[in-house]
Amino acid sequence: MNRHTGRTKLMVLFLMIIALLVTACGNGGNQSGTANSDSGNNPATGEAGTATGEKVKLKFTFWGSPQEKKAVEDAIKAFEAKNPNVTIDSIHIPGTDFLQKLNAMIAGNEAPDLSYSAAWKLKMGEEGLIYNFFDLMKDDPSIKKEDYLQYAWWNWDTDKSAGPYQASVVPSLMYNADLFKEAGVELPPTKAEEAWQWDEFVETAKKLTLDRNGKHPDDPGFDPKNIKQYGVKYSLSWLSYMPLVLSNGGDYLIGDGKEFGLSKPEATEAIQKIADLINVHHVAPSPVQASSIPAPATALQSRKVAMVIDGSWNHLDLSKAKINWGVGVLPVLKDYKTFFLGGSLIIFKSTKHPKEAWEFSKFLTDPQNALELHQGLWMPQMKQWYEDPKLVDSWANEKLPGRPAGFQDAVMRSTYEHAEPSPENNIRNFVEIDAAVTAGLDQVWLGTKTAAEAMKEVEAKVKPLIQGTYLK
Amino acid sequence: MIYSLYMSFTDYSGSNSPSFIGLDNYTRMFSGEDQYFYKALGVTLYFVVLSVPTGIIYSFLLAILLNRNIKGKAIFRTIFYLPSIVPIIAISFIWLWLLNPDLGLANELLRAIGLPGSQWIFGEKSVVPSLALMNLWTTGGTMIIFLAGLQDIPRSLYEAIEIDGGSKLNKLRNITIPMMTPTIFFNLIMGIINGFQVFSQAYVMTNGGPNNASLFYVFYLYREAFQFSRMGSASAIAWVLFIIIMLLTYTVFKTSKKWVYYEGDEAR
Repeated sequence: MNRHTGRTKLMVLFLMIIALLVTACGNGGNQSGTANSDSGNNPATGEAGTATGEKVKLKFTFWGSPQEKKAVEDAIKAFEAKNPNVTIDSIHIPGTDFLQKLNAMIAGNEAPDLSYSAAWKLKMGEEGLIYNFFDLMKDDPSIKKEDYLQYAWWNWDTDKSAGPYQASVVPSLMYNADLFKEAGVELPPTKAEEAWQWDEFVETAKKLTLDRNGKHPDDPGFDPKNIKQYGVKYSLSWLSYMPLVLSNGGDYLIGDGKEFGLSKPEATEAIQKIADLINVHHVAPSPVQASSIPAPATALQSRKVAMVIDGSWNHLDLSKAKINWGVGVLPVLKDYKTFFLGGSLIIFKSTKHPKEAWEFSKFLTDPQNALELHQGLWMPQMKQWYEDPKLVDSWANEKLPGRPAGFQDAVMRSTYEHAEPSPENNIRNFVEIDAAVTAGLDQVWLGTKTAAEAMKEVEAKVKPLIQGTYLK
Repeated sequence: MIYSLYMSFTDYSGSNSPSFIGLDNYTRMFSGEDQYFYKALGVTLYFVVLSVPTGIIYSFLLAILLNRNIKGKAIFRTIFYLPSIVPIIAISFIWLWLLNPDLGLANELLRAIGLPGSQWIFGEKSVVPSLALMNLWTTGGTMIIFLAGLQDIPRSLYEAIEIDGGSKLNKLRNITIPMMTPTIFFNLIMGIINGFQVFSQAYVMTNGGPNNASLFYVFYLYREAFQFSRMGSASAIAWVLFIIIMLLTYTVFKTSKKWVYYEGDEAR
C-alpha cells in the first residue's frame, strides 16, 4: 500500500506530462491537419466564365493600415457601381499572420477568389494554386506586358507570372528641413546626376549629428555614447543597403544569378561604408541605439534624427506629422541605382469567376481607381503614369500634401530612370537567403566583424539556396 | 498529432497536397544540411541549462521566505506571483524596455554601483543569459507549488529537531529539502518542458538574433513553417522536439529514484 502511493504519484505526473505534450503538439498538428483535408482534390474550375447579368460574389483578402483599408474599400465600392452584377466580399487581415489565415482558408475549401500576396505566392504558383497572369493577359487585348515597369513582375518561372506589382514603393531619403537650416547645411540634392558622393554624405551627416553638449563627431570631447541627434538613420535591411551595393557595381547575386554577390568586394565595400556610419563616424544609430528611436516620421519630428533612409511608405506618416520635411536622392558610390518594390494581386484557380476576378484585379491595379493612395503612399507601376505629364500631375503633383517639393525628381524620376530589379522578386529562395544574410549582417552593424568576413561566412551557408534569378 | 507524424514524412508547404518523401526531412536536419537545426538545439539547451536551475533555486528560496510568519505575507505572495499571470508578450515588452542598453533601468542600476553596463539582448553572448534572467520573473507559479509543498511538511518534524537543539540550517538540510524533493522533481520536469518550448521572447524581443544567438527551437520551427512555408519539415522538427523532451523526462525519472523521497515510502 505504501509503495503504491509513490507509484501513483509518478503515474499521475507522467500522465500530466503526456497531456501537456499532447495539447502542445496538438495545436500544431491541427493546423497542418486541417490544412490538408481538401486542398489536393480541388479541381480548377477555370473555364466557368459567367455570362453577364448573373450575380457574382468575389471573396478578396488584403492587408494594410486603416487608411489603406478605407481607400481599398472605396475602390471596391466604385468597382461595384460600375459592375452591378458583382459584389466584392472583402476581408481585411491585419498583422503578421496573413499567410496562416489564408492557408487555413485554402485548406477549408474557402479560398478567396483573389488576394494581396507577398513572396510566398511563388510557391503557390509552382504548386498550381494560382493563375498565370500571362495566360490571363493573352485573352485581354486591353493590357500588354510592355505597359508595366520592366521589373515590376513577380514570376515563378520564365513566362509564368503571379502578376505585376499592384502598387509600388521605393527606397527613399527623407529629412527634417528645419534641422538643416539650424545647422546651416544645404538641403540634400534632388536630381540623380547631382547625388551626394559618399564622402559628402558623411560630412553632411557629421554636421547634423549632435551629442548632448552640442558637439559634432569631429569636435574634441565628442561623446559618442550620448548622442542627442543623429545625422542619419539608415534602415539596416536589404531595402536600404542594396541601392548602395548596386551603385558600387555590386549585386546580390552575380554571374547570371549562379553566385553569391554580397561577398564580393564591390558589395562588401558598400556594406562596410554603412557600418562605418555607425561605428567609425558615429553619425547613425547602431541596432542597439535604434531600438530606442521611434518610427521614421516620429524620429524626424522629434529631432532624434535629421535624415532617414527607409521605404517611401513613410511619406504618408510624414505628411500627417506637420513638419517641414523633404525628400532627396540617395547617396551614391558610383552610379545612381535603385529599385521599385511591391506586392501583387493573385487570382486563385479555385475561383468560379475568373473573368470577374481578372476585371477586379485590373481595376485595383489602375492608379485611377485608388488615386487617393497614389497621392501619398503608393506609386504606379504602369509606364504611362511616368510618361504622360497629365497623369504624372494627377499623382505626383508637388502641391499634394503627401508629395513634398522635389518629389518628382528625387523619388519619381530618379527611380524610374535608374531602376534595377529588386532582390525580393528577382532572386529565387530570397526569403531564406535573406534570413542568413540578415543574421550575418547583425555582426557587421554591431562592429564585431567586417562586412567582408561576415559575408564570406554567409556565402558558405547560402550556397545550396542560390538557384538563379527570375527577371534578369 | 498522429497526422503531423505523417506530415513529417512529406513535402508539404501548407497549401499544396503533401507528397511522400520518406525520411528526407529528418536527414536534412541531422546531416547539417539545414544549418539552423543544431544551432537552435544548442541555443535552446543553453537556455534550459541556465533557466531551469536558477528558476528552481530562486523560486524555492522565495517560497521559504514567503512561508515565514511575516507581516504583510499575503501582499508579498501576491506581488511575487503577479508577473506569472501577465501574458509573456506583455512581459517581453516591459523587459525590452528594462534591458535597453542606452535607456534601460538595468544598465542604469549597474552604472549606479559603478559596474559597466551590458548589451543584454543585443549582444550575441549576453542574449540567452538575459532571457534566462527575465525568466526568473515569471516563476511565480513554481513558487506557489513550492509554497504548498512547504506547508505540507508536518510541524512535528521541525519540533523534533528543535528539541535536539538543531540550527535553522539543520532544519533546511535535513527536513525541508528532503521533504520537498517530490515537489522539486515535479518543478524540474515542468521547467525542462517549458524551457524547451520558449518562443515568445525570441518572437517579440530579438527575432532570433543577433546572428541567430537566440534562435530558440520553437522559433526555428515557427520560421520553418510560416516564413519558409515548409510544413512537412516543421512537423519533423516538432517530432524531434517531442522525442527529446520524452527522453529527457525519462532520464530525470530514472535518476529520481536516487534522490526523490516520498513520504509514504517505507523508511530506508
